[in-house]
Amino acid sequence: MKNTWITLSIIVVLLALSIIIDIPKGPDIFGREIKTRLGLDLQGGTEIIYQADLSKSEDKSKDLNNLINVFRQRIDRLGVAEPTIQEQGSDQILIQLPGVNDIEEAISVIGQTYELVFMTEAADATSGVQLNDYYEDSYTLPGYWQPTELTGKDLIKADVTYENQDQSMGQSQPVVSLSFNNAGKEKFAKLTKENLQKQIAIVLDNRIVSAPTVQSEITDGKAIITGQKDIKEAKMLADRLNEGVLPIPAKIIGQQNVGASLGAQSVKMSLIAGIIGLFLVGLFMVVHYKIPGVISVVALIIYSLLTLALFKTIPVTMTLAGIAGFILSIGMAVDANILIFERTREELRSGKDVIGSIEEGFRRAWSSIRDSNISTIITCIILFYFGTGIIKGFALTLSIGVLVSMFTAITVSRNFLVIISKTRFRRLLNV
Amino acid sequence: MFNVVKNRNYFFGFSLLLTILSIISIFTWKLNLSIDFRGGSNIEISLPNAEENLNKIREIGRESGLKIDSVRTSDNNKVIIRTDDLSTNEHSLFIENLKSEFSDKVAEENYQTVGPVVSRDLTNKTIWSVVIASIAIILYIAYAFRRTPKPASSWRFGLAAVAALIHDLIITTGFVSIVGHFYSWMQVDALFITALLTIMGFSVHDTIVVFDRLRENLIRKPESDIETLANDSIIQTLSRSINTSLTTILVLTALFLIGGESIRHFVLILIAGITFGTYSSIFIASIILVVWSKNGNDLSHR
Repeated sequence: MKNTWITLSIIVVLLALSIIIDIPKGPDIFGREIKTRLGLDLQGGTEIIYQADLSKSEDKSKDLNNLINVFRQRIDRLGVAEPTIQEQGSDQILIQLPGVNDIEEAISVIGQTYELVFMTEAADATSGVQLNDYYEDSYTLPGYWQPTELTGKDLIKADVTYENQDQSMGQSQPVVSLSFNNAGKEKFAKLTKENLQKQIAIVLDNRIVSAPTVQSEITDGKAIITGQKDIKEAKMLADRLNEGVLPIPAKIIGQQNVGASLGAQSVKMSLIAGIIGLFLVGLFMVVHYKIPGVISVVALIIYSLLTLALFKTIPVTMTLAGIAGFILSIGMAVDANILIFERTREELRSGKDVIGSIEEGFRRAWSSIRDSNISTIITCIILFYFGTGIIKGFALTLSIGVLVSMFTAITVSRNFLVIISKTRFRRLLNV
Repeated sequence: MFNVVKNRNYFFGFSLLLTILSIISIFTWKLNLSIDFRGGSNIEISLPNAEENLNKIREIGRESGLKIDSVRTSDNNKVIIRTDDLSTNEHSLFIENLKSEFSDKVAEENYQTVGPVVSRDLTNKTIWSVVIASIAIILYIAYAFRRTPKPASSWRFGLAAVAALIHDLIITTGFVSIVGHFYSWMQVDALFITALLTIMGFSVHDTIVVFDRLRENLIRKPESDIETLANDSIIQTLSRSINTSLTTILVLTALFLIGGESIRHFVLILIAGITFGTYSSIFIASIILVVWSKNGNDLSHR
């Protein structure tokens, strides 16, 4: 009995916590706003799948990551809230832009082939152009710039190294070192000779990544850019330069644009249908199983609140497939209750007392609940591992749902039955 | 009480009939594959009086250089145009041309392009996940039922469950092929895959409940023969099997009636699949096990 009350108070605490989380305008817990994330099929937006051509690449995963970084910077410029940019397989990149409906514009910003060029100072607007900062799009750097022959193709790589600039201070400074190939070496030598004490702009995507001043003529094809505040900034610059070394061609192999109204409609309809369906299930359970039926309805409500709170906290992006997984898990949660009640009924018929029947009924139902649910979870893990996006969403919500349903079957349904069996209402359990 | 196991030939016959019909339909009527699987583009536009303008839309499509597969209306004022895999430029040209013909009345609701790489990926990954998941289910059931007394070996439980599962998947796919032959909205798309996976989960779940009962009965009454015990187990779990499926189908029917057109095919596949899944877990899975065990015993007696 003591255990029962401990379990009961745990349920109450968890329930209170999940209700707080489930409230539409979720509070800031764990340092971020907790809210329901809707997938593209439910809230509308654009999805683009790129395939990168890595045939000339030496380090495929690094180059793919570079390309992802380039895409991320461009998408940030589009101002999309919560974009998804992820690799898919060994050479594909999946981009999801919730709320973006102009697919052409998105593609024109994301899909341009990027190029790294070195530019020199120009006298005025006729001989040069004005350029913005790479990281801060609204900031235009002073001066005009004109392109040179030196591009990312001439660069071998960029690294972050340390240089002991000031021996007396004994501090090493992170710097970015560049090494050029033979063609680049000559071009760079000419460039540095002609532009002594002037700025050279390193331009990626028509935006200035860095504009160091030439200190001396460099003829060995090895340059060092100093003045990075810290290792992080130096690494960021080196990353940008490496992205420009070998521009990876990427082509669109799939795209999708879902109108916002269509998504909103399916959310609303599915929600209404789900509520009506659950109401019917509750009605059936109460009519068929009487008091235990009422317990199962309470258990189902607690189950739904806990599961939705988990979906919001993790967070799980809800898609139509995800909702399907959730509905299936509701079915399995109902099933756990039905199994327990049916077995309890059998034990009662065989002449056991109420408490004994509940304990025995639960014990015997448990092996069914455990084995069937574990096989579902195993299936989900495999689907999550091998599946594409839609299959993953389904597997995730289903496995979370099944885990919670096992928990509520052990705690909620069982303990409520036990508690009622110890009160004077126990007669009502004689179903 | 009705004896399921004694009458097993009727159920085997019925299942065999459904399976053969399904396979025939899958090969003759084929599956109504969406662009998720065959690649191509799908453009959904809203336009008043859509029905009258279908020919005009086809013409604009031809003028824009599109290879059109089909143009159909849905929900009165929507048109769904299916074409070959479009490039960004081809797509925007077509939409511009539509706008200059119908002005503001036309709006693009949904656009999807699937290249051959993506559709091949989806097909491969789906097949692999189903195959590997099936193997994992066999392994898990063999492990979970390892203490089952003779004559039933725990491997047979796993294999019988997966046999019933494959039966459900074939019949459901056949159902989709038949309905898809008559109704164009019944498409085989990514949601179809989700539906099959759901059915898989449900079917195995259901079968395990019956098997769990059989395991218990085998332990309790080792003197009885498996035929009697299997039948007892089926009857004992019958009301649970029916009640569980009934509650799930209640939710799905509500979704089917008011859930909106975009998931109608999905929900219908689920209803069919769960019905077959329940049927096979009651009438097929256990009797496969019985027939197998009996044959196995006969062989060992010789």
